[in-house]
Amino acid sequence: MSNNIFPRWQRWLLLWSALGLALTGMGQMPIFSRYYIAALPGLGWLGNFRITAALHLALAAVFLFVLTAMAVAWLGTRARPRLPLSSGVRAGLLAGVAVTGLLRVLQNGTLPLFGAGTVRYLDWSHLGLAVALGLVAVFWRRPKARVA
Amino acid sequence: MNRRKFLLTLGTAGAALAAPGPAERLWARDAKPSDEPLATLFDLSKCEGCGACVDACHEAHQADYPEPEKPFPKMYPAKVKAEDFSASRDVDDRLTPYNWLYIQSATVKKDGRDLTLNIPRRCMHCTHPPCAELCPWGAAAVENNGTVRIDDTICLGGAKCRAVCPWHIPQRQTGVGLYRKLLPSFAGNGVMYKCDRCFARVAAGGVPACIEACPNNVQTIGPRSAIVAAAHALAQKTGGSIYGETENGGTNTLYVSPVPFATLDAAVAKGPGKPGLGQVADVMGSEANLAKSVLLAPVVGLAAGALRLVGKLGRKGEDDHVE
Repeated sequence: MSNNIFPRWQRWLLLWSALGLALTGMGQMPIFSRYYIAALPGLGWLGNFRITAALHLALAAVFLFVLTAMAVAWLGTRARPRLPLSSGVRAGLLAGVAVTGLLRVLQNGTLPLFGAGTVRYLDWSHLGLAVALGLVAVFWRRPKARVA
Repeated sequence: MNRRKFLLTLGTAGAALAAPGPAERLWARDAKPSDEPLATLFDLSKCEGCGACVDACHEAHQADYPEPEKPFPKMYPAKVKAEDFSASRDVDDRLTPYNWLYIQSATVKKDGRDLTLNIPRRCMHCTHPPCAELCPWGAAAVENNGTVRIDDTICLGGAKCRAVCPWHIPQRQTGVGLYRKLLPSFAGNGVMYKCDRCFARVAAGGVPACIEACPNNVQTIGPRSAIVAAAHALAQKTGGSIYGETENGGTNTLYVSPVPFATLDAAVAKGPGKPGLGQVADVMGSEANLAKSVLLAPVVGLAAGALRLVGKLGRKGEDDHVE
């Protein structure tokens, strides 16, 4: 079973880092202040772009570490369970979000691969893939995996 | 930059600034465009505050100013307010969506006497602009020549760029732009506007309108290394101070003033649309280490995954051997 391929701590770390990324990712848009969420006691930091951006990067490092470690474990396991379609879509969306996020970090740093007129497509792809991943995670339930 | 190249650049920049004729650009009109970002240098000792640059900016950008549709969409929640400058287009004592350049004045003491300095203010065009690097919608971006631009066709007017800019430069006009076609009442609030350093004019081989119109050659434009060298040469010659070289991790707008900028910062009027001249933190630089961690994380993850696999294979081999 896939649960035996991935240690429990990795699965929990992936889940919580992904949830944190979703929250801080939404925080990159000016919505928490507008809709009073940042006004709730203890949530003021959600309205601070510099805090949410720094947390987004920190969580992205954790997420990418776990995701690549899990990918290696998956690819290196002979008796892999057959993935249902919903899990395959999830994996594809996770990879897409990770790659577009990495490209954005490179764009801001030492390797700007996109021009001023095209960087928007990178941002829109990252946002669109993250929204799609959230929708799939919530509304497309996974059947139990079977061993091939 | 090696020593020879630095001295050559310094000499070129110094000669250009010392030349009796106009020194508005540090490269020939027909020169091959450099890969290096362009920067500008303001020699504040030359500015008389005549406002020719502000007028030229207005004239050059008439077609770029917003024409909002009224009434504005009703905003939810009600605390979200419209920002409307369309009825005050002539305001020229601060930055607005209709005024991308204005002149700050500061009267300070120098050598026991009053000295009034005029400081043209606009976007600093940072080398790592937080407005562009943190815009979640890709509306603000850095052009190859170092100009930071906001695309008014896709900007939603969330004003994050203004919040993260150390000088809070971009200004919002409600009632215009893409947000009206998406969720006008619930997301966005117009379009953000600021100086685009006359991108089209420069791309066509010209110089920004403010530089062309200045009767005193206050401003010079050229490759950043030449402009930085020219700023240092001028500051050394006049005993002046430099602003913009290292602020926010470095900008493409450098000022040289005969009095320290801390003194000017204390003397200028500050507030909405009126940026200061104080020390500012390097917004994107503070995230650089986290960004490195993000780039390193997949490599560490691959190594950790591979080590775990090798460990599992080793244990399996031992088990097989025991059997």
